[in-house]
Amino acid sequence: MNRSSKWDDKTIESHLKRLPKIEDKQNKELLYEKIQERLQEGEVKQRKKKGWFVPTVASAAVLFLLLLLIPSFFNEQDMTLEEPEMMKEEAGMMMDVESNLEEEAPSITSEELFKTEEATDSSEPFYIGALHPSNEDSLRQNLITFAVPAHYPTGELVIPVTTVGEHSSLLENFLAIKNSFNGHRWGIGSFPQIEINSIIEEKGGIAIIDVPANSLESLSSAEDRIYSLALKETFSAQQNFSVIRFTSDGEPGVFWGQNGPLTEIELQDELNRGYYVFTSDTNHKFLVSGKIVDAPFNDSSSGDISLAETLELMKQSNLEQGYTASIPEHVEITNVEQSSDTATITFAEGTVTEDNVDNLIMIEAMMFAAKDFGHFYVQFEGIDLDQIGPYQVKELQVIPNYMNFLQ
Amino acid sequence: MVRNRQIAEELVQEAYIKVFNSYSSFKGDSSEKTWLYSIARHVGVDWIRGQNRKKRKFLGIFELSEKEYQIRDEEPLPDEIVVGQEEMKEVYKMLGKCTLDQQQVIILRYIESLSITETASILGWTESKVKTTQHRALKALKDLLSVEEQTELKEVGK
Repeated sequence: MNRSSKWDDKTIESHLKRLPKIEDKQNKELLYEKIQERLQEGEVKQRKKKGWFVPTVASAAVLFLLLLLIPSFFNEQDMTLEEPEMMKEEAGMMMDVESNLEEEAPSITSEELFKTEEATDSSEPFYIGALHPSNEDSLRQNLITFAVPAHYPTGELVIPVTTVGEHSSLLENFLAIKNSFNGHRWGIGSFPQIEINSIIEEKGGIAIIDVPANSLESLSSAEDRIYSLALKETFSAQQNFSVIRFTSDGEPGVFWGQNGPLTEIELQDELNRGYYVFTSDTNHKFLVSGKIVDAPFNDSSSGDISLAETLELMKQSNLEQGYTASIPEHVEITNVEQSSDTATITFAEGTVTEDNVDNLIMIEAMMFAAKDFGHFYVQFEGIDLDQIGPYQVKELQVIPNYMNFLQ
Repeated sequence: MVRNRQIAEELVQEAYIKVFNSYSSFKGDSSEKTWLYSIARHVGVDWIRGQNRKKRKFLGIFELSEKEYQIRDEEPLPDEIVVGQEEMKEVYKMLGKCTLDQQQVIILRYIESLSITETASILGWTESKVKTTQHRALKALKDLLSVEEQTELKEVGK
């Protein structure tokens, strides 16, 4: 009998869950005594430390001076370009062996992947893809997602985009980017001109935005909608916020255009309406939420729809609302299964056969749609390819967190 | 799970000392539970890094309780208990061969039953890194267990 099939994921997970909880069984009184002893030992050690403190500082100073002096000798030598590069790489490898073993080489982003197309033919659609999950960790301190307006022939909508800021604090990054970002290159707008005195993060996921008194009083009805959508999408994207609360020069509330007094905007929205494609004047394609573009059934009275129903809706286009389908109409989805962490989406055989932009848009839109249903992974079945864009589609996909990543 | 009760207990004491010394700096950004886990994890990781130089193996901060390998299923058949215990021993053994990051994720997610958000907060990682590492850890365990199984089968066949 072949036992090799014994170890599947479920069996392993089940065994892991049944391993006993880790417990500390030390007697409380004894533990207290030991801690006291160690605290006293610590104090003695600290006193002893002072004995070698001065020599250590002196050695450090000598090393520092050597570090300053040695490079100047090298600078005077005529060195080839390759050699130092190789040395640098080798040193890097030695220093970071453990992390290299753990982390796979970062996958290329979809923007990098299709850059060639943009360079060779500017009329070719160019998809602004998501940031691949394998690249998130190295950038996460500086990543900022915010929403900017974009025009289509009959209206305006907002698009969440992600970029790398210069600050490590989210709110500092937002305040800097909101003034400096210019989306002209991608055919989208800049962040609305909302004057902000300060933003404070309060416990319970509350962002308190303070604006100058009366600065938003004269908003037009179009601005009114876009400004609130942009703020809502921006702060919803940060995940840790659930409410935006406004103050005007420290006083509660703000006068918001024709809507009048406004104290807060709720960010929690239970509707899951999938993702569609917006194409800008410069032929850049972005994913946009169905909640923003008035996708079908986009009101709370329609109630919840399933992931399978959402994916079917994502095959529809509505140019009057500024969006097109993210899933090509000919794509047949034969089954959608949902477990706690994973959504499994099965395509009819022969439906997805090419590694192209349309299919990349489709799988990213599907993953983000599944994420709104609380899933962390998507397993695609029935794809006759190993890879679409940067995704190894036969493997379990970790759902990305940042769509429309602008580099 | 240092696989040495004495060391584990010393590390617990060290963790308590760190908690005692740094409680005033606890800002309340995370829950006390994740803060405590985070301190314990740092103590454990510091210890491992020290031990790595001496080529010693580590599996975590604490010793597994006396109920080690005991199955919690309701009234399994006797032969199922034997097989189950053997399999759990194998899983536990192979867990020790995973990378440090993988072990930490497995312990927090499966043994301590913490959520992805809590695990990310304790480890100071993004949620996506937790998910990726968890996925890789399960894959690594699966590979290690399969290799072990094949080796055992070969030995039996000799």
